[in-house]
Amino acid sequence: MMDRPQPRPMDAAVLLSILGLITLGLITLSRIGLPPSAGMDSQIVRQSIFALVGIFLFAMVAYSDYRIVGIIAWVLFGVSVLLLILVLFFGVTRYGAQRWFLFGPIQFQPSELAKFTEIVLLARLFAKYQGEPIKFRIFALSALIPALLIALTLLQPDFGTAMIFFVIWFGIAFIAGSRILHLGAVVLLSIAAAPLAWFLMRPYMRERVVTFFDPTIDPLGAGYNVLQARIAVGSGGLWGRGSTGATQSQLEFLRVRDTDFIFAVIAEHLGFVGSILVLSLFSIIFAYALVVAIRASDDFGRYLAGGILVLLAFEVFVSIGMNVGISPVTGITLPLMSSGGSSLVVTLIALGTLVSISIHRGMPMFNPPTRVGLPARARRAAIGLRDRA
Amino acid sequence: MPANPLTDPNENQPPQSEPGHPRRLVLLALGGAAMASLIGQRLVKWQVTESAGLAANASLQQRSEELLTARRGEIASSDGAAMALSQPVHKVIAAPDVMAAFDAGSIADRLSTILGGDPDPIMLKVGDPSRRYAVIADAVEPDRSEIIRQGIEGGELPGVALEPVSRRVYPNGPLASHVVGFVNGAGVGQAGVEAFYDEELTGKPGFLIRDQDPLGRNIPVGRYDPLPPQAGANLTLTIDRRVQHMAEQELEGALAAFGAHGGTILITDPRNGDILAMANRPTFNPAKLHEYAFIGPNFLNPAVSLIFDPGSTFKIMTMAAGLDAGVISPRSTHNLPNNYEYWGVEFRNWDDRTYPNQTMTGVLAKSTNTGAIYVADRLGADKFYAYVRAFGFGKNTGVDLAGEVPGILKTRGHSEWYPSDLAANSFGQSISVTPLQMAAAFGAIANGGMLVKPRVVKSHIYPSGETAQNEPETVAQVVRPDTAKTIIEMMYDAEHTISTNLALSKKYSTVGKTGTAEIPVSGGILPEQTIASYIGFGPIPAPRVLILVKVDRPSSGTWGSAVASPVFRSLVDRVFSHLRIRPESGS
Repeated sequence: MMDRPQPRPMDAAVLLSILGLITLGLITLSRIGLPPSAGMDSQIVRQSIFALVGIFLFAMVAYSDYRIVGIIAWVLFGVSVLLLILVLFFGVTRYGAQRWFLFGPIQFQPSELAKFTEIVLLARLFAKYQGEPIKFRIFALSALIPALLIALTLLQPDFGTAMIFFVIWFGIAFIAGSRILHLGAVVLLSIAAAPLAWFLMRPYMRERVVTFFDPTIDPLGAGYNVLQARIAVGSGGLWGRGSTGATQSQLEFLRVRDTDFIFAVIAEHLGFVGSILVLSLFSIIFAYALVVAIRASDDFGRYLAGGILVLLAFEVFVSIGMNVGISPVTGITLPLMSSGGSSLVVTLIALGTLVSISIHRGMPMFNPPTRVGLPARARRAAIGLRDRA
Repeated sequence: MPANPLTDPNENQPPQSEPGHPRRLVLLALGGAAMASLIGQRLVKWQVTESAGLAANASLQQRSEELLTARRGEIASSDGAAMALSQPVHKVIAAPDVMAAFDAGSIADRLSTILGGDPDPIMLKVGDPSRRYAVIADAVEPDRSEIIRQGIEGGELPGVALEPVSRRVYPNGPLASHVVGFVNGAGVGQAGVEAFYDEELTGKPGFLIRDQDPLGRNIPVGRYDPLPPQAGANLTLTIDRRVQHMAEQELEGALAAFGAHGGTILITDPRNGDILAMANRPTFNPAKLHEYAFIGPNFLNPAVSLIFDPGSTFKIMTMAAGLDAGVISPRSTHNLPNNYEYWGVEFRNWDDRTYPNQTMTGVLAKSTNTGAIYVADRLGADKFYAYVRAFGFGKNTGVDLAGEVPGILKTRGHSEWYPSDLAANSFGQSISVTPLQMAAAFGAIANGGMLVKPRVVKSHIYPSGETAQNEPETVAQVVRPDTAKTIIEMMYDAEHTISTNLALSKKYSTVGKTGTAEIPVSGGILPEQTIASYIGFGPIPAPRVLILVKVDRPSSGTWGSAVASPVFRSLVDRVFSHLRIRPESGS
C-alpha cells in the first residue's frame, strides 16, 4: 500500500485553486443578469452540472495512470478528428459557425476535446524521440497533426481554436527540444503568411484586428465590446462595485459577458483585488503545471504537462488580455470560468491529467492498481509502450 | 562529442530514466511571467490609476438626458380664429439591425397596411441590417399610431417604436401667411410671427435625466429627475381675419384686373399701430410647405422685406415737414417751371405742365413734382432729412415680424448722395422704403403727428392663464399736432378738387395720396413699368383706419389714381362697415 498515489499539499493547493475559480465563475454567471429560465435551460444550472461532472472526471483521471492516455492517443485523436468532420455535417450553427453537436439541452463542442487529444498525441510522438535531437523530418511530420485539426476547424469557421491548435503544437515542439532553427523558421513563415491570413479572414475578423489597434474607430460597432470592457474593468476600481453597483456588466453594455468578456465582469464586480485574485489562482495552477512538468518522471509526462500548461496559459492570457486590451478579440474563453460545458469538462480532464502526472511520479505502471481498471490487452499495450520507449 | 544543449545532461541515460534538463520549460515560464506582468500593469493602470475617469464614463453612458419638447404656443387672429397650432402626432421609427433578427419583410408589410401605401419604400428603409435607425413616418395620426402601439405592445412589431412629436398646423392656409410665418422640420420658426416670437412660442423644454441600460430601460437604483416642460405662450394677433380676408380678396381682384405681378395691402389702426391686415402677392401656403421645392422669394414678406421707391405718396412727408418747419403754409405758392434744373439734373412734372402761382394744396391735388422740390429746397437738406428720419425712414419700424429691412435713405454726407437727390427725394424717388414704413409714416399724420410702432401681436396668453398685453409704443412726435391737422385739411381739399377721384367713398370721408413710382434698376428705370399705390386713412376728422394699396407693375393702367385708388375705396367701404364705423350722414 505504500506506493499508492499520495496527493501532496501541492496537489491539494491546485485543487483548491481550481474549485475557487469554478465557484467564482458560477457566481459571476449568476450575477450578469441573463434572462432567467428554469431547469436545464438555465445557464447557471447547466454550468453547475457540467462543473460536477467535470470534477468527477478530474478525480477519476487524477487517480488513473496518465500513461494510459498515451496508449490510446491515436484512438483519441482519431475520434476527435471524426467528430470534427461530423460536426461540419450534423452540427448546429450558432453565431455564424458550425461548432456544436446538440444532444437535447446539452451542447458538445468537439474542438475542445481535440485540444486535449492533440496534446496527448504530440506528447507521445515527441516522447518517442527522447534524448535525440528532433530531426527536421520528425518536426515537419508532427506539424501534420495540428495542420489537420486547423484545416477542419477553419471550415466551421473558428479562427481562435485553430490558433490554439497551432500554439499547442509549437509549445510542445519547443519543450520537446526542437531545433531553434526549425522553430524560428516556423515563426518567420507565420509572419510571412499573415497577409494571406488577412485575405482568408472574414470581414468581422478583420474588424477585430483593426479595432484591437484602435477601438475608437467604430465605438458603437466593432470596437464597442473593447471599449465597454475597458469601462467595466476601469469602473471596478480597487475594491469593485459589488453586485449592486456593477452596472456595466449586469446591464447590457457589455456583450458576450458570459464567455469572452467574463473577466471584465469579475473585474467590475470585485475590482483590482478580485482581478489579482483570479490571476493569482491561475498562476498557482500554472506554477503547479510547471513543477509537474519539470519533475515528471518521463518525457511523455513532461510533454503532456507542458502541453497542458501551454494550452491553459495561452487561453488564460489571451482571454484576459483581450479584456484588458492587450490582445485582439478572438473569441477564446477563459478556462474554468466562462460559460461552456465542453470547455469546462475538457479543462478539468486536462487538470486531472496534471495531478495524475504529479501523483504517479516514479511509480511503475499500474502498480498499485487504481480504481479504474483496464482490460488486459490495454495493459500489455501500455507495458509495450514503455518497453519500446 | 557533439553536445545538444537541450538534452545534453542526460544524453547517456537510458531513455526510461529521468528526462533531460527542463531549460525550455523555464523559458516558457519566463514568457508566461512576462505576459502576466503585462496584464498586471494594465490592471493597475485601468483599475487604480485611470479608474475614476472610466467609472465616470460608465455613468455618463448610462445617463440619458432626454429633452422634453414643450407644446408650442398657438397663434390666433384678433377675432379668435386659430392661425397656427400644434397637434400631437407620432413619429414611427425603426431599428433595422433589430428587425433583421426577425422577418423584416413581414414587419414592413404590416406597417404599410397600417400606414397605407406600398411596403417597398418601407422595406428600402429597414432592409439594411447594418443600420440602427430609420424613420418610417414623420407624423402619424393618433388613430393609426394607436394601432402601431398595440402592435408593439403585442410583440408583433419588433424593432419598431413610436416617438411623440408635434405637428404644426395652419388651419387658415395662405391667409396672412407672411404674418404667421412657418416652422421648419425641427419645429423652429422660420418667418413672420413664428420666427419673431419663436422663443416665447417654444416655451421651455423639460429635461428627463435618468440612468438607463442600453435598451433604454430605467435603472431602478439610478437617477430619475424629470423637469417638466413649460408650454409656449399663445399669441393673439392684431390681424382681424375678416379684414385680412377682404384685403386678400381685393388684392387678388386688382392683380387680375390690371394684370399686375404682385402687390401689398396694409390695413392698420394709426392710433396704436395695430396691423389689421397684411396681404401680399405672391404668397405661399404654410399648410402645404412640403409641396414647395425650396423656400423661394414667395416666402419673403414684401410688406417689410422688400423695398421700392414710393413716388408721389412721399410728397405728404415733404409737405408736412415744410409746414411743420414753417417754411410754407397751405396758401404758399411756387412758380417753378415744368422743366426745372436742380444741381445739374432736370426734373419734370408728370403732366409736363407748368403751374404759375400754384398753392401747396394745388401741389398735392396735381401732384406737382416741382412743387415738392420747392418745399424741399426751402427746407434745405439738413432739415428735410431730419424730418424724413423722424418719419421712420432709413431704419426698421420695429414691427414684431421677422426679416424687416430698413430701406435705403442716403443723406448729405453719404458717399453716394448728390445735392440733386434732395429734389428727387422730395417726390419719393431715389429713396427706398418698405410698404410698412410708408404706412407708419402716414399713420403719424393720421395720429396727430405721433409716430407709433407698428405691431402684429396684441397679447400673450401664458400657460398659467395670465395674459400680457403688448402696449402700443409711440416712437416720436414727428410733426406738431396742428401741422398734422393742417396737412389733413390740405389733403382733404386736394382730394376734393380732383374731378374724378376713384379713391373717395360715398359713405366715408377719407384723405390720401396716390403714388406712381418708377422702378429703379441699375443704370436707369424699368421702361413703362410702375408701382401704383394709394395710401389713405379715415374717417375724417378722427382717423381710425389706414389703408395702403400697392400694385406692382400693372400691365394695363400705370397710374396710382387708376389702379390703387378704386381698391382703396372698395376697402374703405367694406372695412369701415365691418368695424362698425358710422357712415357720414346724408351719404
